[in-house]
Amino acid sequence: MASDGIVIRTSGLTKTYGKVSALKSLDLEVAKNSILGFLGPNGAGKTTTIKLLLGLARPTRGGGQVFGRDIQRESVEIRKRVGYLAQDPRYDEHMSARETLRFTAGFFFSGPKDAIEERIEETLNLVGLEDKADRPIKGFSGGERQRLGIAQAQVNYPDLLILDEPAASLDPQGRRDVLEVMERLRKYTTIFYSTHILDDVQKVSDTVAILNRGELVAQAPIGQLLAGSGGIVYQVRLTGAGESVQARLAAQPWVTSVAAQPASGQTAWDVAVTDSEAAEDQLLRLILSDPAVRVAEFGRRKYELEEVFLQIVEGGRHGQQ
Amino acid sequence: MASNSVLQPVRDRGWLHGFGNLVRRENHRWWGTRQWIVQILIWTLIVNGILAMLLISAKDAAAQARNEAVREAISEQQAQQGDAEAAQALQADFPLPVEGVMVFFIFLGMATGVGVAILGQEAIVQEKQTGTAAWVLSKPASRIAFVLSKIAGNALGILVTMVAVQGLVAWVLFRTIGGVSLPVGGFIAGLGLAYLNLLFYLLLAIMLGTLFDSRGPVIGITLLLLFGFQIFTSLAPWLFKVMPWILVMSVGEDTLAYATMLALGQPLPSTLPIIATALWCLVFAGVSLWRFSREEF
Repeated sequence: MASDGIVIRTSGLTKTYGKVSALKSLDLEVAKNSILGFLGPNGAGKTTTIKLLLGLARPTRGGGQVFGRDIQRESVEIRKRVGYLAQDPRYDEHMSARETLRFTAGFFFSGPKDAIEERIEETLNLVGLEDKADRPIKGFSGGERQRLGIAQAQVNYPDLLILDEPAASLDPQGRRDVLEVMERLRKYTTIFYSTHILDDVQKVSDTVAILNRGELVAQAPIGQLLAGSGGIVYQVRLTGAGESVQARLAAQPWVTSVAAQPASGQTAWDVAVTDSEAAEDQLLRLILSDPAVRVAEFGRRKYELEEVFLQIVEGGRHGQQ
Repeated sequence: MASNSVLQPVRDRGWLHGFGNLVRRENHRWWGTRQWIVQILIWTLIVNGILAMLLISAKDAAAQARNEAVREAISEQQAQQGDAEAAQALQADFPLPVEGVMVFFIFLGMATGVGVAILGQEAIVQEKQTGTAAWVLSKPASRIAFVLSKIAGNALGILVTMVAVQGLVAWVLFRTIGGVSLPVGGFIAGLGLAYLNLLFYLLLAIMLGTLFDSRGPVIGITLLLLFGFQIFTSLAPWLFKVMPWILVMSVGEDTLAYATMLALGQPLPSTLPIIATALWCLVFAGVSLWRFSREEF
């Protein structure tokens, strides 16, 4: 582990295939024990980044470190502490889930045999495959394969779990199960996972990085990203003539603008402020001081991740640091 | 992550990291499934089935010839010593079946060569195509260990199912049907050359598997070298000296395959094809390791 608590650090990490730039000078940091949701549309470079981190592909330029070790020169040492689930996990079809986990564990543990078997059993229980542990994988459904993928990724007690689209092929129940497993593991490990299911990211991630066309366009704690970066905005819905209070608000030194528009028989205000504490203390009181208005809704504006994501990917700058 | 302090970590180092585990996986593919039974049955039927038929028909022909000889001896020399000669002819050993040994080694080299080509192309290309290679290499396994485990696992499987078992069955057939006890040392040495010939095609297919991403060129080039020896040697006759063909194939009417010579206890005219084949194997293995270490997934 790097002494500064950073598990993954890339610097100018670049990958080109012929004339196609899959990844353009990626500078990324992932803190210890965080769950980082790695977002991006298809072809954004998410899987390429993961392959570079695992030594499955070589950077064209730049480099990176995992646990303070170089991703090119010390790849095997890095992989001793990593669990990886591929986007479309493939195993030896003639093997059973238990044999697959035994084979995986064989890369990490030499014995004792009983302890290894116990660990395999624990892992099977964790993902709910204990009943199908001895059936050949060729009969597994997509969801069962994905569960097996998670099981094999964490059989070695990894310090870093890298999951490439872990819930992409799952039904809602399977997705929920995967997210639960991730939640359970977060206190032990750092989780770096790519996805395009924004709901999942919002549920479990504490940090988000967004990749678009090979470029990192945003990386921030999810709270910060959802709050937006166009300033602090409060949303107020009210009824009654509010012109005088609107003018009074606009005169406050911590208010930068008040935008009003009609909304279903009410008026919707977006009040942009520079000081959230002053706003929390005074904004609602100021509005209610005018007996001509009645407040129906009041609150700080929060963005849905999908909204933020689309704005960023389509060229907006919400959440960009 | 929370760990179990009882578990002992693997101590592999450097380029051998993961080798033991990967070899166990290859061995499981051979010996933990029906593969070994299937391979033994196929090659016993093809290689030794043909040998058995040849020996039976040769025995019938020899018996017929013996009967004719006896009849002639009885009719022509019955008055003086016919009875004695007839008795001697009836007790004569079955002649040493050179053709049988020759055919055995040709089939052992060529027919099983097809099987080896198929196994060799599956070893790398199939794993690249299905994505299992990427999965395995996301674990702490070196790429050198990956390729070496493929070579070691398949080399052992081929040795047992295609060479040792077939050699044993053939020796028993020569003994029981042919009535001939081939010299054990020479026969094993002949099998060794046949094995070297198969290793050549195994390593060639593995090397091609690291160079290409599809099965076509891998199996195509391997089979071309396996069966195209007449074309190549008609263009450049010296190729016989530096390729494995003469180890199991007869060249012209006078020269027996080297494996046949050894099995019959005859001296070899040259060791150059043996050395050259071994060197080719080393080159193929070296190129495989070099290329696979640069593979991207």
